[in-house]
Amino acid sequence: MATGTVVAVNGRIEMNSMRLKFWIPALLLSLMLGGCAGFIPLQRPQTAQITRGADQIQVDNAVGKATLLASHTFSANGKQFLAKHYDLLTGTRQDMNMRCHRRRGCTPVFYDVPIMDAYVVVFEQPSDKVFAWGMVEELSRSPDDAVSSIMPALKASYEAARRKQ
Amino acid sequence: MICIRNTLAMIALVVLTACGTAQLYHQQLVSLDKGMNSAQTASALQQPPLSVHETKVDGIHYTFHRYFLSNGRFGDVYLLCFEEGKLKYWGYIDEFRRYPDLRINKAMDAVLLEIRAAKK
Repeated sequence: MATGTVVAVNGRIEMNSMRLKFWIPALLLSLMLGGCAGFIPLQRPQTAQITRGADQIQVDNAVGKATLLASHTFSANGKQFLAKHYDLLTGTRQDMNMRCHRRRGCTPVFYDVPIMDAYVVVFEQPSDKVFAWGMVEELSRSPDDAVSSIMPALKASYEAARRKQ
Repeated sequence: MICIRNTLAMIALVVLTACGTAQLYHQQLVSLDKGMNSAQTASALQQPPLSVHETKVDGIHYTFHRYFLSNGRFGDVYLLCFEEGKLKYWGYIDEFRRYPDLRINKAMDAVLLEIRAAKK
């Protein structure tokens, strides 16, 4: 009888440790995935829908659920602008890690890492129409001086907005 | 076991030596603005150019800074163009060719010849 109790108790301990072995990785995985779900990058098919002169509502519809990183107003060349910042997914690169085992040796593990670029949509105020849109570095070197000349002020204002966040 | 370790150490050494070549990444380009001088761009990019090339077109002085822009697994020549000492345009060679300023197109062609000659 006493032996049976010990076996039963041991069985319960084993069951509990089995449950923990399953639940701890499951919990960690769900936390990791939860973290990823918080950020959605902008993609090319969405940016293709943005047109000159579109208003904020049209642009918001075009970008859909892409995460807005920051929104701020600034002035340049005597005009007021509103800038909305996103991260654009421009591709992926493949990275490699070596997984080493004492007896089995080392094997390479490949995984994809997203490549993103800073993307901004600028609305002229008070008309609220799209004035410029594109990657930040692309707009900074735009042959159109009306666009490239507002970029230093935009970047300074963005930095200030990020510091506030 | 020791053999595997040595092989991995050799691979790491070769990879790190390759990484030692100065290269730019896309994220760094955000810090560039038109009108910067060469000291400001080197400071913004946190590295000096691989080479500097000068040319004149229609009496206007152009300076080109050659960098290597890494794009994940690949990379290519990336140029900064200063017109009379001020940053005017920057990009890949094909982007320069599409730039709507004939003087800059000509200046880049002259500089490219110099770069290719130096490589030979």
